[in-house]
Amino acid sequence: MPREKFQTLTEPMFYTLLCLRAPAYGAEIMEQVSRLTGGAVRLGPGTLYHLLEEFCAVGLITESDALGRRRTYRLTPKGEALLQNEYARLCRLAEDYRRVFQPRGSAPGQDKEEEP
Amino acid sequence: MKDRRIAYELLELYDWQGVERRLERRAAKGWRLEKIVSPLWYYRRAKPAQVHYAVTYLPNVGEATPRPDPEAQALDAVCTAAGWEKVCDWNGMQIFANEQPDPLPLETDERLRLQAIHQTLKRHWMGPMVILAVLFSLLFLLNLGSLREPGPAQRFAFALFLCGALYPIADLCLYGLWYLRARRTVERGKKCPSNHALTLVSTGFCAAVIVLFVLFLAAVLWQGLPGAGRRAAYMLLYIPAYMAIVWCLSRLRIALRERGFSAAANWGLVILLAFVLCFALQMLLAQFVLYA
Repeated sequence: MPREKFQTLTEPMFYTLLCLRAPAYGAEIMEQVSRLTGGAVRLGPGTLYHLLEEFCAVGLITESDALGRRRTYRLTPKGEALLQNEYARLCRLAEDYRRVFQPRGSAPGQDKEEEP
Repeated sequence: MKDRRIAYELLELYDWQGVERRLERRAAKGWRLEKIVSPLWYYRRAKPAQVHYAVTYLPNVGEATPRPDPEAQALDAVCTAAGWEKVCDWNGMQIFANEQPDPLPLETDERLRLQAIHQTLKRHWMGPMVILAVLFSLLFLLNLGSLREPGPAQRFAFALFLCGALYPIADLCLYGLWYLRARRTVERGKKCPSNHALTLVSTGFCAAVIVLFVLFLAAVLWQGLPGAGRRAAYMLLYIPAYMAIVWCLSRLRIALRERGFSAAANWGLVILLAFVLCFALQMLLAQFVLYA
């Protein structure tokens, strides 16, 4: 079943938006994503360009400056709201996980079967 | 020793992997792509090296889009920062090279890759292919009567026209099937499947057209039809002259876009000149070769 666009964010989408809280240009975003994730998320320059175009088209980010060939982008209120929703969704998932695998009072790694 | 090499590459616009692999093989043999002036690819001699090539697509940057284009420049800036240097572009396809041993891939999201390929093809490839399919089908239907006459030359001509009419239709259908399959695959989170096999099919069609054309010419001469020699000479001269016109118009299109002409003005002038030059070529060859 195809996932509705931006209903949930992929890792490259999430980190790209996260990096645009302050204005940044392409190379800076790639660098920040790599630093934030310790190199776990690889964001190719072609993919980043297409992502930025897509985000701009739906108003999640805006072009804040263009210096020569370099374009700078930043998050819009709509983009910020989407990022907050995604964060809330991820927190819900984490909370559910904790509820199932780490009941209150038990140490991490102990599962339900070990409860008295 | 030659420092430049010009090749007619049988590659399709949608076949990104075919283009990347072909350019990497050529670079390993000491030939680096310099530019593309349709239908010819220009290479320059360089030290044989393992160069990585990667392509991405910009649907809004066509053959006649005025240069420098801000979209292409923005993409180039991001790619340069990751070590990918722009080589040239071809009908929306942006070709980059990287000499680092293990570079960061240009595309890391298969959904976006497929989306860019499809949007570019919708914009720059499907329209011309549909026109080609309609024109060749009309040509085939209009000549159906004379093509049914007995004789080997007529049979080869029938097969030649049929091949010409089927090629764009088959190419469009096969691309459509590949796209539907690729979309399903990408939606499942898997890698975009290769479409290099489609290039092999179109290469097969081209080979069939060339073989049929040679057989047709041989049959015309063998049958000894009235004016057979003149007909053969007409066709043999027409094809290289037509290719030369295509090449000249391609150079003109590039010159106009570099001078900042709008895409509409560029295409208008090129199409007008194409009609005039093809008509003049036909008249000249008819006057001095066919009815001399």
